[in-house]
Amino acid sequence: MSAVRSRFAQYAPPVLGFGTLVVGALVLEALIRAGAINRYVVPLPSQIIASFGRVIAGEEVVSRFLLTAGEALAAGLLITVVGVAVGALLHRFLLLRAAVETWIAALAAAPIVLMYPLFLVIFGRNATTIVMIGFVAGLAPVVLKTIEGLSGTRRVLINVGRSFKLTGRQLFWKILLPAALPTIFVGLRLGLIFALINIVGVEFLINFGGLGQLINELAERYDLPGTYAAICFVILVSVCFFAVTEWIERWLRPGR
Amino acid sequence: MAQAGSVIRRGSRFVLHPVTALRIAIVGAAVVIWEAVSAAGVLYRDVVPSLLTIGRALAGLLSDPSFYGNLDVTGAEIIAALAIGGGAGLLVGLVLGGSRFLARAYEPYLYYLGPTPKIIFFPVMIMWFGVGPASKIAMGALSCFFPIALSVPACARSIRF
Repeated sequence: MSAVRSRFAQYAPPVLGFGTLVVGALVLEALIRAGAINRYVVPLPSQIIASFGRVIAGEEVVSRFLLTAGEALAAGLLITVVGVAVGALLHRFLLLRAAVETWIAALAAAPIVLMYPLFLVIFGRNATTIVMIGFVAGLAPVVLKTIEGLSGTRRVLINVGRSFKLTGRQLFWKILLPAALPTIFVGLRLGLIFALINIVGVEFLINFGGLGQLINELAERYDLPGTYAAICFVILVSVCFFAVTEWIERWLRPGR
Repeated sequence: MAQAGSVIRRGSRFVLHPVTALRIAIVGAAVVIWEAVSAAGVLYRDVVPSLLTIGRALAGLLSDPSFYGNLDVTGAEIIAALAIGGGAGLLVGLVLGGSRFLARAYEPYLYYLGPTPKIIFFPVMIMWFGVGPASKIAMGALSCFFPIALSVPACARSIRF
C-alpha cells in the first residue's frame, strides 16, 4: 500500500504539471476557434504543432540549436567561474562588498543589451560578442546569491571548523562553499535565464545565426506558427540546461 | 560594515568614510580607463566617445524639457509593471514555496519558460492592450514575473524551522 502511495507521490506532481499544460493548450485552441482570441496574433496550438515538421526540415534547426546551446554553455561556464569567484572575494573583503554590492544589484537591472554596438566593436561580429553579452547579463545574480549563500552559513558550522583549527582556505572549501551551494545554484539558474534571454535577443538583433535569428526570420515572414515552434526550441535549450544543473547539484550534494 | 554617513569625524578632523573613499576610487579608475581607451583610438572612434562629449550630450538632454515628460512616463510604467508582475510573482512564489507538491508540479515550467525572450510577445501585447503605456507595462510585468516567482519559493524553502 505504501509502495503505491510513494509511486503516486513521485509521479503525481509531474503529471499534474503536464496535465495543466495540455488543458491550457486545449482551452486556448477552443478560445481561438470560437473567435474570442484573434487567430492572426495567437496561432492555434494545433497549427504550431503541425509546423514543427517543416521548421525542423527546412530551417536547419539542429545546427542553430547547437549554436545557441553552445553560446549559452560558454556564457554559463564563465558566469559560474567568475561569478562565484567574485562573490567569494566580496564575501571575504567587507569594505569592497559594502562599496560595490548595491552597484552590482543596480547593474543587474540595467539593459546592458543596449550596449551591443560597443561589444560588437570590441569582440567583432561573431559568437564571442554574443557570449560576452550573455555573460555580463547573467553575472550579477550569481555574484549576489554567492555572497548571500556564504554569509548565511550557520554560525555553529563555522565554530565546528574553528574548533578543528581549520585555516581560512580550508574553512572556505570544506564548510562555507558546501553550505552555500543551494543558494549559489538558485543564483546560477537565475543567471542562466538572464544570459539565455540576452543571447537569443542579441541573435535576434544582429542576425548572426542560431535560434534568435530563426525567430526573427519567421516573424518577418509572418509565419506565426513557425515562430512559436522556434520559440519551443529555445525552451528546449533551457530545459536541457536546467536538467544538467539539477544533475550537477544532485551530484555535489548527495543525499538531498 | 554599516555605512552611517559618507563623512565621519575623527577627533577634530572630518574624513571620508572608507566605503565612500573606495567608491570614489573605483569611479575614478573607471573614468581614467574610459578616457584612455577613447583617446588611444584603440576601438572604432565613435563607439567610445570622450567623457567631455558625453557630458555635453548629457547636459543637452537634461536641459531639454521633453526629456522629463518621457522620464515620467517610463518611471510610471516601471512602477506599474513591478507592482503587477512583482505582486503576481510574489503570490505564485508563496504558493509554490508553501506546497512541495505544487512546487514539483509547476516550478520546472517556470524555469523552462523563464529564458524565453519576452520581446517576442510584444506584438501580442500591442494587439491586446493598444500602443499606449499599457502594452509596455504588460511586457514589463511579464518579464519581472519569472525571476520573482522563482526566487520566492527558493527563499521560502531556506527557512529553517
